[in-house]
Amino acid sequence: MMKNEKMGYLYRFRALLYKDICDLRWNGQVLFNLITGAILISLFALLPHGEIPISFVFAFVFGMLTLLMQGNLVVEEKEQGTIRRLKQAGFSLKEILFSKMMITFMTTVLILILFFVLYGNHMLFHLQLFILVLPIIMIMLVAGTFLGIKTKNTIEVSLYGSPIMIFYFFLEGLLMNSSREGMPWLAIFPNYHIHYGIDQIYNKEPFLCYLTVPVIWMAVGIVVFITWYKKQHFN
Amino acid sequence: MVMSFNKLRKIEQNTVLLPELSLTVQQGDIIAVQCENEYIGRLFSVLNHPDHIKKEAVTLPEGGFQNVYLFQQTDGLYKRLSVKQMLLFWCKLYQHQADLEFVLNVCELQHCAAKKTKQLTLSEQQRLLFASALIQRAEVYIFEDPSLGLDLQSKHVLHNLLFHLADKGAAVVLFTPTLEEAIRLGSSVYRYSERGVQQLEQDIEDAENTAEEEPEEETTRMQVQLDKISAKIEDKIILFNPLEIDYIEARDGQTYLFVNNEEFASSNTIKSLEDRLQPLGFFRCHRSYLVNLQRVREIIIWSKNSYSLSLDNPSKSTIPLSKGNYSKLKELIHL
Repeated sequence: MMKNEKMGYLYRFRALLYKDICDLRWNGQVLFNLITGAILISLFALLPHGEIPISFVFAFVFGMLTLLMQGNLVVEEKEQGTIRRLKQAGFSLKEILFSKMMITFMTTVLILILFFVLYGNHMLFHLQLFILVLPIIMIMLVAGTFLGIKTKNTIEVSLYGSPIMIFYFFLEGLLMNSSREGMPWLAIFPNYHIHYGIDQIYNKEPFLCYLTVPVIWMAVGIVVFITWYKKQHFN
Repeated sequence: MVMSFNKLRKIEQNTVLLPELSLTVQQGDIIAVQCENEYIGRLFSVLNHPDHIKKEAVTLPEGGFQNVYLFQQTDGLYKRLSVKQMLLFWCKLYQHQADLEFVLNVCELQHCAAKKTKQLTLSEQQRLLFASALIQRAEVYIFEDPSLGLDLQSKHVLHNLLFHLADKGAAVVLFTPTLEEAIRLGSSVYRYSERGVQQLEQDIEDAENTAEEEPEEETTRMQVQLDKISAKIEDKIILFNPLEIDYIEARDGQTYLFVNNEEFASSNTIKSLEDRLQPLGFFRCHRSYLVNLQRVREIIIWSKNSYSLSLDNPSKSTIPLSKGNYSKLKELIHL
C-alpha cells in the first residue's frame, strides 16, 4: 500500500517535471538568458585567459539565468492560475517549489557543462570549480524562489531581481578592478572567495578554505528563508 | 448520497458571507444552483480551503476532496503547452490513461490539438479546461459558472459533457448567477439566497401550466387590445407599448420587463401579464418567462429535455423553454 502511494507520488512528480520541461522549450525569457549565457561562455572560451575573470561569467549565468529563471517559474504558476489544480491534486507548495528548483538547477548545470566543454581543462579542475560555485547557485535558487513567492508577475520578478543582480555585478566590478589588499572588506561577500578561489584552483593550490564564507552565506540564506517560509500562511 | 452540504455557512463578525447551504447530491444528478456571484466566489474560496470547513458541514465522497473535481473561473492553462501536452500532463497528474482522441472529440478540440493554449480563443480555452473533467476521475464535479462567456458551440460541449459525466454515474453541481443557465443546464434547479436553498419546482410548473392553459384555448379569439404595460423607475411610471418588450422574467417575487437591453421592474404579476399579452403574440415559454414571439429568432434544442429560445434583440438573449411548453410552441407556430 505504502509502496503504491510512493509510486503514485513519484509518477505525479514526473508529471510536474514533464510540464515544466515542455514549457521551458518555448519560454522566451529563459531561452534568451540561456542563449545569452551560452554566447558569453563561447566568447569567453575564445578570449585569452585573464581578459575576463571566470567569476564574471559565472555572475552573469547565476544572476541572469538561475535567479530570474527560478523567480519566473515560481511566479508563473500564480500568474497563470495553475497552482490551485496542483494543490488540489495533492502537491504542497513546498513540493511545487522543489520541482522548480530542480529544473532551474538542471538548466544551470547544463550551461556549466557547456562552459566546461568549451573551456577544455582537466576534469578535476571542473569538479573543483563546480564545488566552489555550488553555494552561490543555492543562494540564487533560494533568492529566486523568494522573489517568485513575493511577486505577482514576471515583470515584478525582473524589477525586484535587478537590484540583486546589479549589486552582484557591482561587487564583481570592484573585484576585477582592485588588488587583493586594496579592499579587504570585500572578503565578507562570497564573490570575493569565488573570485580568488578560482585563481587557487587554476594555480592547482588548495581552495577549500575559500568555500567557508560562501557556505556560511548559503546556510544563513537557507535558514532565513525556511524560517520566513514557515511563518507564512500560503493558502 | 455522494456529497452533501449540511448547513454550511460563513459568518464574519456581523456579516453573513455565505448563507446556510444545505444540498445533497446523488449519483447521476445534475444540480444547477442559481445564486449571486459573491456567494459563488465565497463558496469556492471555502472549498479551496477544506481544512477551514467544519467536518460536519460537508459530507465528502470516499477519498475526500481529491475525489471532487472543481472547475473554477480563475483556473488557467500553461500558455506555452499545446492542447495535447496539456491533456498528457493532466493524464500524468491524475494517473489516468484517458483516450485523448475521445476527449478531443467530446470537447471539439481536434482541429487545435497541436496549437499552444495561448493561441486558442477564450471559448476553446474553456473547452480545454472542461476536458480536464474527462481526465480527472472524481465522484463529484463542481463547476463555477461554467457557461460564462461561452459561445454557442462551447455551450453545446458543456451540455454534452455534463450529461456524459452524469451518465457515468458522477454527481454534478454547478453554480451560476443566471437562472436561465441554471434551468438550461441542470436536471434539478435550486435557488440559493440569503434565505437558504430552495428548489424550483419545474415539474410541478409544467403540470400547472398544462392544467391552467386548457380553458385558455378559448381566449385566442380575443381581439387586439392596445393597452400599455407599466413599469416603475424611482418616482416615474413608464408605459411601454407591449410590442417593444422582448421578454418578461419573474425573479425573486418581482416581474421584470426587458426592453432594448434594459430591465424594468413591473408591479404586475407574470400571470396577469400573460393574460393581457397572450393575444398580442406573447408566449409563456417557462414558469418564469414570457416571451414576445416576434422576437424569437431560433429554438435551440440542447437535448430532448432541454430547450432555449434565442431572441433577435441587440444582446441576442437566450431564455429557457420548458419541455411542456416546447410542444405547445410547436403547435402554435405549426411546426
